[in-house]
Parts: sequence; C-alpha cells; structure tokens
Amino acid sequence: MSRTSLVAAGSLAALGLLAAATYQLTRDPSPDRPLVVYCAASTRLPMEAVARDYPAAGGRRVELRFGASEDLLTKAGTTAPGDPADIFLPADESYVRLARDRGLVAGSVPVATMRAVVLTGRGNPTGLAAWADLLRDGTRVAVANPAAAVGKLARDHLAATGRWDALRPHVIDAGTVTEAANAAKIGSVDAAIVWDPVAAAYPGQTILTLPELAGVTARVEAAVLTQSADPDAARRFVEYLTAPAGGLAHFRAAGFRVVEPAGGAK
Amino acid sequence: MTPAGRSAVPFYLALGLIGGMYVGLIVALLIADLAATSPGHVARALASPEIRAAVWLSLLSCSITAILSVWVAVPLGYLLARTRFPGRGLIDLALDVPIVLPPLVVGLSLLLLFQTAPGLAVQRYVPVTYAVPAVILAQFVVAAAFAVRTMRVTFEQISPRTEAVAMTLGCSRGRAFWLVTLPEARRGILTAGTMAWARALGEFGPLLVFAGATRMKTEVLSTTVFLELSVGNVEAALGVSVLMIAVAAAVLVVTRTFGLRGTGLV
Repeated sequence: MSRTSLVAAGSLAALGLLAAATYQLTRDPSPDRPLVVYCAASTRLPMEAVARDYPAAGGRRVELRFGASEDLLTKAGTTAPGDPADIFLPADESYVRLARDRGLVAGSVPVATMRAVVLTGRGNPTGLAAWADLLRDGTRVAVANPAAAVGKLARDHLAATGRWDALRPHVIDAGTVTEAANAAKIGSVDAAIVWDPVAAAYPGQTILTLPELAGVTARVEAAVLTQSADPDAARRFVEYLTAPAGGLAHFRAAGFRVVEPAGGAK
Repeated sequence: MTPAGRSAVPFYLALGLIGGMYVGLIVALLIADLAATSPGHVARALASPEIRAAVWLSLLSCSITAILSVWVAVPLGYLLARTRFPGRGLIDLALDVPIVLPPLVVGLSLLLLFQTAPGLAVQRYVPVTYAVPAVILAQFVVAAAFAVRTMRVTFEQISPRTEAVAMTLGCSRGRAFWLVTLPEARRGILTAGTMAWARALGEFGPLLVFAGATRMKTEVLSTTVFLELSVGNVEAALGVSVLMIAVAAAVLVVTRTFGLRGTGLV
C-alpha cells in the first residue's frame, strides 16, 4: 500500500473515530424526550435555574435552546420532523403576538414585566443623573436598533413625547439590548437604554430609573406552541414557570418584575 | 548590499513597517482581550461542565470538518486547476457563495434546505437541524470553500510535468495523481486542512441559526461566547475567547509541526 493510500485510509479511520466520539459526547443520556424551550438569551440565568429545578419538582427534563427573539421566532416556524419545540419564551410579548398570528401559539401566560432604564458606564464616570445629562455635548447613548423590542419601544415612546429629536444626535445604534449594555460596560458609550433585568446583570454600573422612560415597558410571556408533541406536559411546565415558588422566584432573583398571580395558559 | 552598492535596509524597513502595522494591530487586540479578562475567568470558564463540553465538541466537530473539507477540496481543487470543462466558471462562482454570503444567510439557507422534501426525507432518518450534524454541516459549508481555494492554488503551483512523466512510464492518470501529484501537494493539503479547522472554530452565524444554542448539545466555543455576552458576562466571554486562541494555537502548531516533519518546511 502506498503512503498516500495509508494517509487516505487513516483520515477515513480518524473520521469514523471522531464521529463516534462526537456521538458519545452528545448522545442523550435519557430515552425520554425532553421539553424543548426556545428562550431569549437574555432570560438565560433564570431559565437555567428553572430547567435545573424542574425535574427535581417531578417534571420532565428541559432542553433550553437560546437565541435572539427574532431568530427563535424563525426557528419556531421551521421545525424539523420529529423534533417539535414545546415552549416559546421571547424577550417581549410582541414576538408571541407575531407567533400567534402565524398560528404557532396554543396559549400564553405572562411571566414578568420589564421597563426601560438608563445604564451608565462602570462607576458612572460622567456623573449622569437625569435625562438632561444624556443631552450634554459629547454624551453617547447606546440604544438597541428597532429590531429589538427595547429599541423600537424606546424610539416610539420618545418620539411620541417629543424627546427623540433631542436625543438622536447622541444615539449610537447597537444590535441588541445586551450589546448596548456591553458597550456601556466596556466604556465605548456613556450610557445605554436597556431593560431593568438586563441592567441588574451589570453590577458596578449605575441604573437610572428616569420618568422620561416610564412608558417604555415590555412583558415576557411564555407561550405553549401548537407543534408541541405533549401540550399537557408543556402546560404543566408553564404552570411551574409561573408559580411564585417555582420559576418566578428565579426570575425575581434575576431582577425581573414578576407577574403574580399567574393563571394557566390562556 | 545590492549590486548597485546601495543598502537594502530601507527596502526591508519599509516592508517591515507596513507589515508590522497589521501584526501590531493583531497583537494589540490580543493584549486588549487579555487585559479585560484574567486567569481566574478562564479557570472559572473551564470549571463549568457546559463549557468543557463545548471545548470537546469544538475540537471534535472542527476536526471532522477539516477532514471532510480536505476530501472535498482535493478533487475540486485539482479539477479547477488542471482541467477545462463546460460550466467551470459557474462552479468557480458557486464556490465563492459560502464566502461572500452573510453568515446568518448561510444558516438560514441550510435551515430552509432541510425543510424541503429531500431535506425532510433525510431528517426522518438522521436528525440534522438543531442537532450535532447541523453544527458540522454549518462549519463544513463555509470551511470547505476556503479549503478548495487553497487546494486549487496548490495544484496550480505544482508542475504537471512530473505527472506527465509518470504517465509516460506507464501510470494511468489516476495512479499518477495518487502517487505523484498528491504527495507533492502535501503542504497544501495540510494548509487547507488547518485553514478549514481554524475557520470552523470561529464559525458562529450559521451555527446559531441552523444548529441553535443548546447547552451540552450544540454548544461550541463560539456559542459560549455568545451566551456569555448575552447575559453581560463580558469577562467570561473574553476568557472563553482567550481559551479559543490557546486551543487553536496548540492544534495548529502541533499539526504543522508533525505534518511537515521531514519536509524541511518547519
């Protein structure tokens, strides 16, 4: 056998071994299908805690699939056969509305509400304290683009209240709410307009709850998807998620304003 | 000294200065990353079972992608470099598509492909979307295009003379390719493989859309960076990035050292 043939055969053998190792690494430890939850990446911390606790509370194993709300909406609409998702938890109810319009939602329950706040850089070096400070010369404010809920709602509200034109020269467009917050954290902007639970994940940075942003609010909703292979199990999980001693405790600890009391999936 | 008696130092100094600016930029980026994280963050990242699983899946999936890319790149590179056939220009153009398409569109295209009748037929037997095969396929689509480009240049630079001599000595075209041209292309094959491996490691956009971000299942290191950034954990994201650089450097150095041993190229 020539050396080339040996190398070629070796590469195929390596391919087989690597595929076997990958299968071993990622194979499902349990034969039961988990509940599949599409959830916004910004809800990762409370949702990981909920998914960890749920089996201990008698529920089924939960598989969390993270992404940006828009991506999750796309995924909920393009499901592989034999791999339906059960629950959709985007960062804002507007995505649940869009999913409902597409016939994807069997029912939804509010989980928490959020309001827009101003998150300053670490230690608030420019001494921001009020809305007028954001309009000072040279102040840069990161706002997520309108594709993100906070970007759209903040723009609409500020335009309606006649404040957007004054703020606009100071605005740096960020892709998502966390990109805006991260820009404030690393100091590339002086402040960012973000949701309050997002701001709570940034210790060491001042949070300004300003009356000018009081009308910018959103609601996190958990939706049971029509494609769910086991809608009853999905509803039971949503009930746990919205129970004060269950999921809501984790959402509250993560800085969300939880919605209590919660009913069943409507 | 040059034949004219003038020093070549200014020439090399000019080249060094221009080239050095780019190298300096890369080094500055690395220093900025290292300054914003700490060994503690890297250690904490490595202590997480989810991130350890992501390291293993990254190593395995990138290696599978690299081998598959080389297997595809060798015949395609040879055909494009040595032959003229109808539609060659179109194939050449098609090979640029994965390189020029926005990464998210590559992911979306893969997602749509596996919703068509043939795609769904495949998925009845092998789950692809939001599973490990999607990780490998998303990496492969982009990485193979780079490998093909490398192999094409490699074969273009190898003189067809030795292959022709082998054929005059009685070798068939295939045997001459296998025994003469392929061993000569060894360095190019290794470069194509390592380039595909490195490209696969950094792949993210198509992965997020097509494979999703499910911890312990489809999470690779680039997904980990996204998940950490999405909850504002910039330090951990940078810690994982530093880990990626270290892993990539180790694998590439080892591969090149062993792969080119005895060729006088290392």
